[in-house]
Amino acid sequence: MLILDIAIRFLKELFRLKISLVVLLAMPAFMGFMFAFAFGSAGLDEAETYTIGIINNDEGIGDGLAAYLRSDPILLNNLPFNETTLDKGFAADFIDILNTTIYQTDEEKSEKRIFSVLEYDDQEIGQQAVEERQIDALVVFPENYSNTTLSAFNNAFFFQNSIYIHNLSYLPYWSYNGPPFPINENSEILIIGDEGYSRYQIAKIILDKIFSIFNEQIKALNYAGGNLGFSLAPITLEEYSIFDIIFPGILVFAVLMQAGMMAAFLVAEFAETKTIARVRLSLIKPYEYIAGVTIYAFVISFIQLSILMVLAIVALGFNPAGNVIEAMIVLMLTIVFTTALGFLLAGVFKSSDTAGQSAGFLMTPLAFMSGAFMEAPTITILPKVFPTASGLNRDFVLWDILPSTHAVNALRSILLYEFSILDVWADVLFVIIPSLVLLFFSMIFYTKRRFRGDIPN
Amino acid sequence: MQTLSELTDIAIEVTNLTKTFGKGEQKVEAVKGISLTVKKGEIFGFLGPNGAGKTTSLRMIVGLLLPDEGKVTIFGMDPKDGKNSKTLKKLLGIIPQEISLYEELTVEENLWFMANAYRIQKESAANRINNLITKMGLDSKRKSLVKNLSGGLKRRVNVIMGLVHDPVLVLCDEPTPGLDPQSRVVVWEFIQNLPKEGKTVILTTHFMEEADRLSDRVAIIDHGEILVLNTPKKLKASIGEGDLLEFDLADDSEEHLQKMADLLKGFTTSKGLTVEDAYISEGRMVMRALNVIPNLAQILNRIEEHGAVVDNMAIRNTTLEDVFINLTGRALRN
Repeated sequence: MLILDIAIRFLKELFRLKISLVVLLAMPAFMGFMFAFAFGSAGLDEAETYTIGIINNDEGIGDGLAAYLRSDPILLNNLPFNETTLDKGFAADFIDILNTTIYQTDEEKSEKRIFSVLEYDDQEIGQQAVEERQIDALVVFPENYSNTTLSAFNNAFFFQNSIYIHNLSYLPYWSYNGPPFPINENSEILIIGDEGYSRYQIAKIILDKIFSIFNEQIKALNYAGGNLGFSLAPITLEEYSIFDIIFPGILVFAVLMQAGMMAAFLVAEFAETKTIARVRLSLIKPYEYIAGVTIYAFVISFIQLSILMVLAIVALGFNPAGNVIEAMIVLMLTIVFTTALGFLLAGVFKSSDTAGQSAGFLMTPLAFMSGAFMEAPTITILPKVFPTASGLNRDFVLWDILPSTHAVNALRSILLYEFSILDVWADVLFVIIPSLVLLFFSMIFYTKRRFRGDIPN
Repeated sequence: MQTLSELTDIAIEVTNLTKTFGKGEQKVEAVKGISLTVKKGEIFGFLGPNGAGKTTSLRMIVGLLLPDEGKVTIFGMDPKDGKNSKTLKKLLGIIPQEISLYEELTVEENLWFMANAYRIQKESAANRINNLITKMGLDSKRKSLVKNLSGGLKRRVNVIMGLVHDPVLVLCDEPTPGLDPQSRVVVWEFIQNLPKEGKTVILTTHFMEEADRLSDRVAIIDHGEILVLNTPKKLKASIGEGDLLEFDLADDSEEHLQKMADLLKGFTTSKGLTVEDAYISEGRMVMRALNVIPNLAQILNRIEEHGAVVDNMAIRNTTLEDVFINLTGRALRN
């Protein structure tokens, strides 16, 4: 098949050209190490207090179970919660923790609170507050949060002792006679926000960590009586570096840089080896050539992105929360955009050096505009229309016309916040549709310039 | 697609072909309304100095450049007509001036890519590729990467790349610059044999020997215009009969050389010498005459009597270079 012949020809040329192969393999490693070096040691800003909204739908511990626990001090004293929890539920406990958690370092305890908490009764009002950026994130506790917590505790007990709490009956001086503890109960705390907003990104990371510690502690039996004694003491925000947050942006930057390499190869065929004249005089149709080049670009990008991803996970400490394969799918879709840019550049420039250099010059600001490294200035075009992964409607801003902006958002949501590719459908659509439109026009432009126009001597 | 026998006897007809590059003060008229006809089965040479418009004309004929004006028909077909595109691509083969090969592929891989590009059946492609490789003396290099070949071998591969699909019309754009003598002979013989396979060849060159040796007819082109068009023999005859005698004089000032040339113009002897013409070319005095050899002593006497000291002297036949000089007043390489 001619399209594959073209792709294979490009790949053979690249793989046999040692310098290109070195660049191909070393570029992602270099990029990963460079960014890790630049941002890996930079901790998140500990001076910030993040404002979070709370919707507490938790219905608490069931009345029957709560009454029984109150009547059984032996059991209650061996559980990691007290009567206050029985009255208000675990969500309220957790809200207290959020209200009082302060930044801590190894050396000293600061007085700076991590969160300022606002409670809302109506989720819509809370979401509106997020959309208007009055709060950085909205945390929604589900109705069965307390039961889920008890279930986790009960399951952990079973895991350690091969018996559920409510089945305990062998002690000579005590046996359980109350209603059953919940088992296998599931629910999910929603953390809603704009994944493209840097304050949300940091607040979400801290919240996730606190939830994780809280869940671990709630399962433990050795916190007899009283409050959970929850503390952020063993954790400092230095564990989270800017590198973690910008890594999805680095991936998109790597994809964007492919445009330069691709354009350089195409321009070389036009201006240096002049082999485009042979292609043009043959029976190869422009679309076959373009398709072959596109396959080549996909293969190269896939190799480079895989190297970068593996390197980041294995050597640079990046810990993806979500599905890496789904992230790779988003990146592969973004290559359509890069391919379109490559054809545009190859249609404009007449020297591979100029094409490569110009691509580097153009792709860096494009990455910044896409919010790859830091949040781009907000220039709203349409307020509150664009659906985010967590179901909000955020402003459609100027940079949203770039597919790369949506690629960054989708990757952040998937890799950092554990959303699925279906959750970020809007971003995915805004990656692929404008990219396909641009690819269509860039193919026409390239065909007109290189398959129809003059090929000078 | 038409069969060979169905093709018209006129391979190419070009009418008033014009091409201008640049704008304003940078404007260059590369080709100024050339018209010509190439017959089926002939080798048609375009001879002219660099920048004369040969390659531009050729690229307009194959469609790599769009003419500003004029018309091209190839075997009676208009290349602008989309429905002829596929047929014409199969009929046309180009050997470009620059070496345009995939350097990181082997010789065979290059040829196979072109075979696939022309959608040639695998079996006939294999035969054709083997045949071309053998004809060009590249058997031992078929698995070599092109980048590892010498310039001469690359040039040989460059020649056969455009012929994998067995075209009937071959356009050779300066096929031998920079070639070692051995490779040049191989390429020349290859091109010379193409008409025997029923192919028509258009050859552009600035080597007068190449044009003279290979072409059935030659168009001499300069500054984008065809100056003359005929067989090499007739072109040479057109500037007069006789041999050429070239003198290197000790005083090679233009004034002195011109004085000696004027002295020899029209000089006759009883032994049948008649100097048809005498002129200066590239610091030498050149004269053309019949019966030069029996009259050498008298010619030398005549100029030495008038104060010329001859450092060197050579007798040669008329070449297309002389035709060009006669037409333009300057040598091809100038």
